[in-house]
Amino acid sequence: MISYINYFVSYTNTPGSCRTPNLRKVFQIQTLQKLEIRSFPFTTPNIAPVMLRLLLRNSRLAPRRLPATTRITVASYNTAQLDTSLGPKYDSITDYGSYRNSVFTHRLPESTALQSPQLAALHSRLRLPQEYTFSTLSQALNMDKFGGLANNFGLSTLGKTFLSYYISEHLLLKYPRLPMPVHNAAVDAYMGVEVLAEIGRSWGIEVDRSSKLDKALAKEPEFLQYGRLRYLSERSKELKAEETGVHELSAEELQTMNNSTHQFVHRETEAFASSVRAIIGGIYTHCGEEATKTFIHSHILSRKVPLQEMFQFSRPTMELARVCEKLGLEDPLEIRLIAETGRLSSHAIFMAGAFVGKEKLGEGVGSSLGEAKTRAVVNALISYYMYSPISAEGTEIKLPSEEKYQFEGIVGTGDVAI
Amino acid sequence: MPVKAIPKVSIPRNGVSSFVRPCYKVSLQYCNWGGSSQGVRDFLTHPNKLVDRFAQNNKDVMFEILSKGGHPTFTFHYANGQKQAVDVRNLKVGDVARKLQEYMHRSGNEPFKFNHKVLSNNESVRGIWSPFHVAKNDRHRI
Repeated sequence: MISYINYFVSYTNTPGSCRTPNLRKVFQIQTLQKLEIRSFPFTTPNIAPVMLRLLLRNSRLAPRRLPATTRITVASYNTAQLDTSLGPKYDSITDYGSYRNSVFTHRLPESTALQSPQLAALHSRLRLPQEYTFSTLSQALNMDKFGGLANNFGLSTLGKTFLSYYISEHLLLKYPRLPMPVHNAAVDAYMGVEVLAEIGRSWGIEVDRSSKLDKALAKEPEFLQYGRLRYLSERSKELKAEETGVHELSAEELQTMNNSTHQFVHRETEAFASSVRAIIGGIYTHCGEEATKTFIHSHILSRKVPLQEMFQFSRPTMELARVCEKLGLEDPLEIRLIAETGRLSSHAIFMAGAFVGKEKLGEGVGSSLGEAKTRAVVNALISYYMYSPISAEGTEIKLPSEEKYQFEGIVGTGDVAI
Repeated sequence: MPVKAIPKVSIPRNGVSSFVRPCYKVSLQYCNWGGSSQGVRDFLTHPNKLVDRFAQNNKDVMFEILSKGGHPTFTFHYANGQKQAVDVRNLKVGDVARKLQEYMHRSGNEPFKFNHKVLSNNESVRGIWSPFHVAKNDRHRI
């Protein structure tokens, strides 16, 4: 006999108050979108036709099919796709309030959700505010579109928008000179599917793996499933014995397949990630913008991203010379040997510095002159790109989402590389 | 020539600005008949409502109570995917409570001996001493 203890007497059932989004924020998000769209040509190869022509001219082989780039690129994080499977209807495409699904779905009653011990534990583990209802938390864990219960698609889209806004804001303000590819990779390091899935697992979210038959045989109470992540179909739950090492890709997984690396996003990974996004979206729905920001800052942005390890320079010296030229430095860039030891021994050490006049831009130690020089140049480049402005008081600069924001922090001469 | 990015995954720092307890679920399994479960039975039916208090004080953990034949076991589920089954046979009430307390506070990682002073994700703030930054006249000459 199984009995479950539920301890959530102190949580009151308050109907969720949905707030309308702040107009200022929507405007900011739209401007960000524009920024990303403008930078899109840098990230997508537009040279496909040229390459195809070259291939045709130079090789006797038939032209190979270029790998399809169906994988969602970072630049398209903000462009939400309309889900047509539930038959949405609207008066006007820009009037978001008029969007209605024609397939009937209902929300889980709060009284049922309150019975789920997993939801009570998760609610408490994430220290969610009391206004955050258990039924919303349960909806955030539901990926099943056709089960009759409301799914997490909308909440997940909302959460994704907030995540990408606050993460871009943090990166753009803290590292204004970060090159676009590194910025995109850093956004991915914070809110990529794999990372969000890892976060979801660390929150102790469980997957609902038992079929209806198993539940009936185990005499499991119905409300227990509402606290689990539901993404598996009834059929795949019944087919438990999956052969190890063999995995049949579903249609969604095939779409995420990267042909060059042969990697795909597992459905479970995607499900965990979307539940994390939906939980964040739920915070906005119930508790508003400030709570969402605090949550993202404490759970997502508190993680460490090793930015200085994310640069890959192909010709660093040339690039540093170009940066110096762009900054309009008067003296030429020089690489000088600062110190050395054991030049004729098997373990020589050299220390080189990248100088402009009397200013040292960077220094590096290596076991050959070339290595020392390259390290010096790379250090100079990284210290330029990873420049982080501080306020006049020496504290961290304010973010645009804070109140009474004024642009501060000296970016220095030259363009801000965003 | 432009800079390329090397994709990385952010490193978790549980405890920096937010803390999520790694132990998310405990199943307390006992036998209604066997003598080795006496301590666990006493713990569950204690007049001071020990289990109730435990669950009230640890709301972030889900408690599951299973009545099943055999020796009593507590199974702790951790966020890193580890499951730890702890044998609690023939323990007194106090020892049962102590075991529960101890394993609920664990991270789920195997305890290991670390023979260095600092274990950190971050670089040393002071940096590594370099002989090349000493004034040239004071340097050691080979």
